[in-house]
Amino acid sequence: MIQYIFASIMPLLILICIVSGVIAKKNVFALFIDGVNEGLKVTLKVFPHILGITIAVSLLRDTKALEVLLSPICSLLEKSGVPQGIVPIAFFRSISGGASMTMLIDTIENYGVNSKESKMATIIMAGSETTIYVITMLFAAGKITKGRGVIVAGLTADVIAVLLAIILINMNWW
Amino acid sequence: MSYIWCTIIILSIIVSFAFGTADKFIEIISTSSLKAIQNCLTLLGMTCFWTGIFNVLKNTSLIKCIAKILTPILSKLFNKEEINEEINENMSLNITCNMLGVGNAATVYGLKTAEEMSKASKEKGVVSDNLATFIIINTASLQLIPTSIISILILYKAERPTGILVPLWITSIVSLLVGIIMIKVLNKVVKK
Repeated sequence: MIQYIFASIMPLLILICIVSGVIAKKNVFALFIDGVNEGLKVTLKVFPHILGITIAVSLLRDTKALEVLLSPICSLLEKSGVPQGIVPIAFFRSISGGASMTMLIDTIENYGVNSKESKMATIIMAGSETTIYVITMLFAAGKITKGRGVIVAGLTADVIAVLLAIILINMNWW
Repeated sequence: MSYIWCTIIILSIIVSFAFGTADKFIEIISTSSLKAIQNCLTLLGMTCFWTGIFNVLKNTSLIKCIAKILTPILSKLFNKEEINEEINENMSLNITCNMLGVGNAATVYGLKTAEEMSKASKEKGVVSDNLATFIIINTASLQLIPTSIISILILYKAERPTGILVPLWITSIVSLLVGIIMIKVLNKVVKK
């Protein structure tokens, strides 16, 4: 039942969008097409990033370089319930949105969509932002040069999000 | 980003030589670049559908209604002296868009808010307390309905795609609270 309610959120959201457009007497289809166009442009723009990152991550994993890198802390990770597969996305989430989205898809394809790794990666992806990028962009807009700890606070929030994703999924309640 | 990318590539090459898998190197590149294109195409239709739907929402007054509901909650976090009508509207719209997962629209309002907030602040070039808090709200990502993420899970036929909602909400809210507490403390410690 709860599952059904959650699953209905998205069609409901679509309904609300369309109906509010009709009520406001807008050309809903034209607006939709404009939006699709925008999405197309954005996807095209991030494609080079996706290509670069997919190759880099595949190399890192398939040449076993990731294993070599993590081998000193491997047993520590395992004991604390951190799967090796989520280390790349946890590290890249704050740096690049395109990269972390690529890594999410990569994780889902490699470990299966119902795996612990995929669930953790999903929560890391949705529960935090491209902190470094957002801060750079907003600082530039406000012509800010002195940050007063904004980066520290932002990254702390990201670390908390990663830790919570690992802890909550390991609890296995959902 | 550039340093990290180069490090990954160089490291992978060194390791592949060390383990004698250098012959597979080009094979990995060609299969993974094919995968990049596949991933891009898989996501393309869905991403575009949502940007289309949200473009409709962006152009109606509904989003302003939601923003109005948020205003009293937001005003508790900010120093009212430096907030004017325009900042308030842009800020509410930015946070509303973020909560609904409309990232592109959120960015536009976010940039305007940052610009206006630093204009309203007395010291130029220094982050004001208000702007610092606003940036943290943006970086902590409070997504109530993560449309794109759930769509991906459905696309890959997850057993219970909405099962991640509750842990996600907990994660989002706790990390946002930690971020806000951190920035409030740091703003008192770090002088302008």
